Amino acid sequence: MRISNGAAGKPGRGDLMELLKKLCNASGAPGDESEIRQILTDFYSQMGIAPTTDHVGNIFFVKEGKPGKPIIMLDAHMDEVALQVTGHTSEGELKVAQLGGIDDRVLASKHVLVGKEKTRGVIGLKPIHNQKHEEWDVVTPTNALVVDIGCKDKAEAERMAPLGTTIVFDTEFEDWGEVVKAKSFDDRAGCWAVCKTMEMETECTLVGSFTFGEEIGMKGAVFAVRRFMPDLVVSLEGTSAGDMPEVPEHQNCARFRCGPVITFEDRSVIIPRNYRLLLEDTAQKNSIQYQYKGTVTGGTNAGRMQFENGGTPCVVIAAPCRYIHSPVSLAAKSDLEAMVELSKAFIQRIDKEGLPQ
Amino acid sequence: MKDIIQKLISIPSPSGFEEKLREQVTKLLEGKIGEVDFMGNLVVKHPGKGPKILVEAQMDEDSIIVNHVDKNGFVRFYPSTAMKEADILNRQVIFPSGACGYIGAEEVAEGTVLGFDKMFVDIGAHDKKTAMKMVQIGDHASFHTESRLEGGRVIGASNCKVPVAVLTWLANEYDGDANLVYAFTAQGRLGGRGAAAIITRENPDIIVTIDSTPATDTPNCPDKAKIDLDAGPVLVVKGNIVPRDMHAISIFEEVAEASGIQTQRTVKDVYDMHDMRIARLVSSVSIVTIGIPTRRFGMFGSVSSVSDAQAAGKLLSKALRKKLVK
Amino acid sequence: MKETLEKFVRISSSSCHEEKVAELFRQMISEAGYETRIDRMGNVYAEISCGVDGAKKIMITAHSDEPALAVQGFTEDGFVRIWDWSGVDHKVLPGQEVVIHGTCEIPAIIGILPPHLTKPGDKKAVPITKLYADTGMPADWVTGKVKIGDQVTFKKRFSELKNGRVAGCALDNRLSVTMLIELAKKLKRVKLDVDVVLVCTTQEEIGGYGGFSAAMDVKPDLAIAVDTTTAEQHGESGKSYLPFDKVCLDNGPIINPKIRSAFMNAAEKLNIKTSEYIFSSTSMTEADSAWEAELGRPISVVSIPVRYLHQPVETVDLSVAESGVDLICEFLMGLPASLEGVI
Repeated sequence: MRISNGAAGKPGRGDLMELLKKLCNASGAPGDESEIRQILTDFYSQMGIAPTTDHVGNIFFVKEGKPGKPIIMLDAHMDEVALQVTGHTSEGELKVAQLGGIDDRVLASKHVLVGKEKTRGVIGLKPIHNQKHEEWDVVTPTNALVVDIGCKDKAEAERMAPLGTTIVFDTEFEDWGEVVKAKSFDDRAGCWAVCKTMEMETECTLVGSFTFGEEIGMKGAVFAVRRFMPDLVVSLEGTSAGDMPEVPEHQNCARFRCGPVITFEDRSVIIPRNYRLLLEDTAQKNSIQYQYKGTVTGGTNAGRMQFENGGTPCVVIAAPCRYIHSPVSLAAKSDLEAMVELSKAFIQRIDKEGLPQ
Repeated sequence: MKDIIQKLISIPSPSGFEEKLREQVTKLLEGKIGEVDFMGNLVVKHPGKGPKILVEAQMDEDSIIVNHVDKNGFVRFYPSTAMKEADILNRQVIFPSGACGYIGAEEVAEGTVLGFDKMFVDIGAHDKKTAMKMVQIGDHASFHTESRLEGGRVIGASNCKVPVAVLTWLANEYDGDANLVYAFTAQGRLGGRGAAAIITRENPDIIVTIDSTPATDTPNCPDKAKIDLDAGPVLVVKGNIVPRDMHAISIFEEVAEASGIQTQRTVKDVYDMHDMRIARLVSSVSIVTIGIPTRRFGMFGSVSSVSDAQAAGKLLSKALRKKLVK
Repeated sequence: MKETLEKFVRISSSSCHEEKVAELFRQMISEAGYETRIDRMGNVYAEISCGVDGAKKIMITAHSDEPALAVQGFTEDGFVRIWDWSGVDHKVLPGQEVVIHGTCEIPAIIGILPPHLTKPGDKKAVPITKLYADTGMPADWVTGKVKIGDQVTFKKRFSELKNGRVAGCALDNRLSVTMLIELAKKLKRVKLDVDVVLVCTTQEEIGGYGGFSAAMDVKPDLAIAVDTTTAEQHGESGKSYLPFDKVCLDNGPIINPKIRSAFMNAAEKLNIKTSEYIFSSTSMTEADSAWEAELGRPISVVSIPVRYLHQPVETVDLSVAESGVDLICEFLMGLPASLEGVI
């Protein structure tokens, strides 16, 4: 009975999404990204590239080009917004705090996975039957919510989920035809795009840089740039689409299904104009539909990397995703594919013409 | 010095779009060749002996960022730094293309707070198409003020102009043998971004920043630290976060005393963002700040004194021959 | 029991659209070896006769509907406006996965404004008028497949927690439907002196209409409603919250005290822990309907405490539900053919 949303995917498209599915279904709370590292290592081993790791939890894959050609770093972060166990109640529930920014309102009544064992748990609210009228519109803050994993008492809860255990949303990747649904497109969509972009042929050296801890303050980015001294960083991201009802046009971050989003400025970086114009020109020449990020909000790894090695130019290409930083988000396949297409075309152009002056 | 100030004060220089000011500075630099990097920094080197000293002044001023142009040609924007809605309402702004406009606001219900999302710039365009000829998405526009140099006072120029003038003068006048790097930095108001990139590139042993420091000689000013106009450059002992290099400060004060230059001290500086970025990046490098006492009026105008600028220039030119690094 | 419950929970069944649960109920009852019939309201009856003509009739009901939403309209961009259909708390909606029952089952999610557009410190819940279901597809595609009034149900989840507890959607009241199936299997092995009619009833969440017509149809001598009730949970206790690990026997003016004491005796015999929910006027279950429909027939309510009631994360201790089945079975076995001393 159930059919997909939109026309059935083109042949072969399903395989394209296989990697994204793996990445999105894996747990990768900030500082706890080992599952993601494993998936990436497996992917790159097919390309014959061995991982380079560091002490903080970043992982890099280098595809050597010709000497003298620019070194281009493709950057994405591995972590996702999550919760962390901060205490246990006498009834055996887990008290939690946020890792990364989550709106309290999306936590109510969700299924979650606790720790490496992926113990199932739920976050429940007071039942509607017993709420007083004035409670109907009151949102419960994170510090008043608990995760119920079915433990009978405090001792059992402490054994099952010790302090510091990370918790992610229990959301399964689904292919709906033209769109895909999953948690953590911010920034697994970026990880996916880096992997796909690196399949290209180029004489430039490509460094796939997968950083840890972006959601808790761009913690890994700086080590990446210091280590590889790239001439250019291309940050690939899942960004927030803002084309919902109630949002005025001038507050709209990006439109869903309208192509990759090019940042001109956010709270952490002004994208160098000559690089941005080259990127736009590349999109136009290759007939790739693109759009500007319509708001000057948020910050990315680029904000931290631009100062390193005497200044490293960064550009940001993002896929517009709806409802990021919540348990479940949507991305359009056309946007994801166009993001990869644009980053490949951009690299090819730099390979041919060199870096912009 | 007067001449340099005069030539700089009327040039708009919003963050990220400092080209015009940079070009003017380049012209005033009397044949010295500078390098410009992708961020828009202008760096001029004065090779010499001893530790490397980075002498820095930021070139940009507070601005608004264009994020949207609607079908009727009204421009929507974000503020580039922390500013208050009421302060900028009805102000005139100037775009990199030279186009001017006024900041207006949608009507909001009584008792509700006006937000930047309800504000717009009217540049007099008929529609989106004509507007896009004057304004680009991503442009920064600075606040336009009439600036004058009169009676030894600089009236109406944005905060960055006098420090840039002092650095320009210094680069032209300094004939000592210290190893200096003069840096006219971009995107300073966005958190010292330009300076941060230069620091990781040049790896200096000490940083001397020339900045403006709020003067407190206005009527009934509650600030306890007394900073007067015409009372000489200010040596900042500690910003809101970052303590300064006391060894270097004492050398500056010795030099000032020996040459009869009056100086002042302060332990508080509102240019905190700038400090924090530098501190985070290069916590092991010490910093000295030479402040020009400046009466600040919101985001746009200020009043400062030519005599303080001259004194700062003279002090720097003498002190930079001494051993600033222990 | 867990497998049966999961099968029931995986089905979407909003009030008035309960055919699939009815179908599965019929199938499972026939597997247990009984005949079924269905009425115009969609109620499914399973009659378990003791073989004696004119034996007294005991009706045991459990409702098949669940809290759900409905399509209220569309925006220009293809977002689907939603409205509460049967008892959903709008606070649980942001970030929830749902299914729109249009010309086919269409997956969607209920979004929330991106964080940069919500003012910091804004702690008010998003009103349902500002919530919408998002299929990710453009308007013409959506309006071609979805009509106003189409049902929107939560995506069905079923998670096993520690200690035999399970969490999922619509445990209210698929749990009780499951208990009826378990009860039917159990009754196959025992001998009763009364007739039992198990009824899977419809439209409880919107007013108990199915239970009303079931009572009119069966005309029972005694009616028992099996339902779920609010369990003690983090930060919530008191009169309205029942202990999580005990079967709850409701008590109130319309509950027949003799039936209650018969239940208490059965519980004592089986060593089952029970708790008591005291209400002042009505029980808020379909026992009320049975009572009204048949002019004050003797009724009773057996409830299983569920945490986070009416949310997609309802949590229950399955062993309590199993004790509930045992308790009802024991009660039925203890009934004399005349029902003397019980009503």
